[in-house]
Amino acid sequence: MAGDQPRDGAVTRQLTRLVVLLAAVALVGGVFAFREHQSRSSDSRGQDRYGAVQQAASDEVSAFLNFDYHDPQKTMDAVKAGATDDFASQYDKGQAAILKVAVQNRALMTATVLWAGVVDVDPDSATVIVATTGTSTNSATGDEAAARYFRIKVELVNKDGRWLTSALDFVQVAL
Amino acid sequence: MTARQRIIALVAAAILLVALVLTEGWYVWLKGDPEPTADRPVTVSDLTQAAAVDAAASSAAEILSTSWQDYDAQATQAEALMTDSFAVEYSQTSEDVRAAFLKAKTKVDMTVVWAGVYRASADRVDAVLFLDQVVTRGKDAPITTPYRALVSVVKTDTGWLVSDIETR
Repeated sequence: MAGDQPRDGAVTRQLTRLVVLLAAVALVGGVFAFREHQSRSSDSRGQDRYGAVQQAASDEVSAFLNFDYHDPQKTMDAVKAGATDDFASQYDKGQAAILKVAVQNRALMTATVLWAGVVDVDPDSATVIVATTGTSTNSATGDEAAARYFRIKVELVNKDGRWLTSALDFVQVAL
Repeated sequence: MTARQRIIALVAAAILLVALVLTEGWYVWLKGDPEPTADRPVTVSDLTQAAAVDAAASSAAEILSTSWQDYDAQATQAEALMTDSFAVEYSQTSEDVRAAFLKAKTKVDMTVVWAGVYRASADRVDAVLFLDQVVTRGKDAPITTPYRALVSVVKTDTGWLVSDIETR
């Protein structure tokens, strides 16, 4: 109706102002949301590393500590599969003599990872501490299973997206 | 476009913009961090988890160290680092061993050798600790024992408080 036209015009003007105001608020909110999204995406990429290095360190420790004198090569292969070339080479040299004795002593070791804690991680390297529980059976234990609890520190490096162990140390008590 | 159609279009635009602003506000201020999973055990910033792990380490060392010379005072200090429910549990254990501890003139020093994050969300962090425990009884030589612990801390208004300690 003709009488409604001035009122419609006023409503339209008020609504236009409201829409412009809301658009401005939405624009500012969009900037905040975009920055927040970028920050969360960056955090998320960093957070993925924690799970990856915990898993890699746990796998390597598990490979290292599970040993059956019937098949020592299985342990050696498993350890080297998760190791850097340098660490695999060190392991080959150091473990050959130990494994020979272990076979002579009919050694069996089982280990389960209790907890793996990330001390430090960046895109290229990580330090993870691993607590294990398990048993050791050999001629020295009278072929009976003896409980073994270990504290192990694992150094890892990121090689082409794979976390490989570059060092593995048993943490002894400080005397 | 008629005036009525313009009004309807403007109202629709206003409703959409309000929804957009509310969504942005929710995303920026209200959307919490995701819960930790096995693949992503840490869902907070490095700074947050590091501060919580530091708190877990220093609190655990203080809670687990004690001496027959100031047993009760140490227990009171230690309880200030715990949640109420864990303090009740600790107080009971502390009371149970008190007489034997004092009689043997026992001193326990716990040192944190390494500390790392096991799992972390905005309100709870679990830290793995490697600890060396040195126990001295009377004039006997000290005995050092290696320990591993999972220490849980929860975020409170007064900072990170210990809610559980599991030693193995």
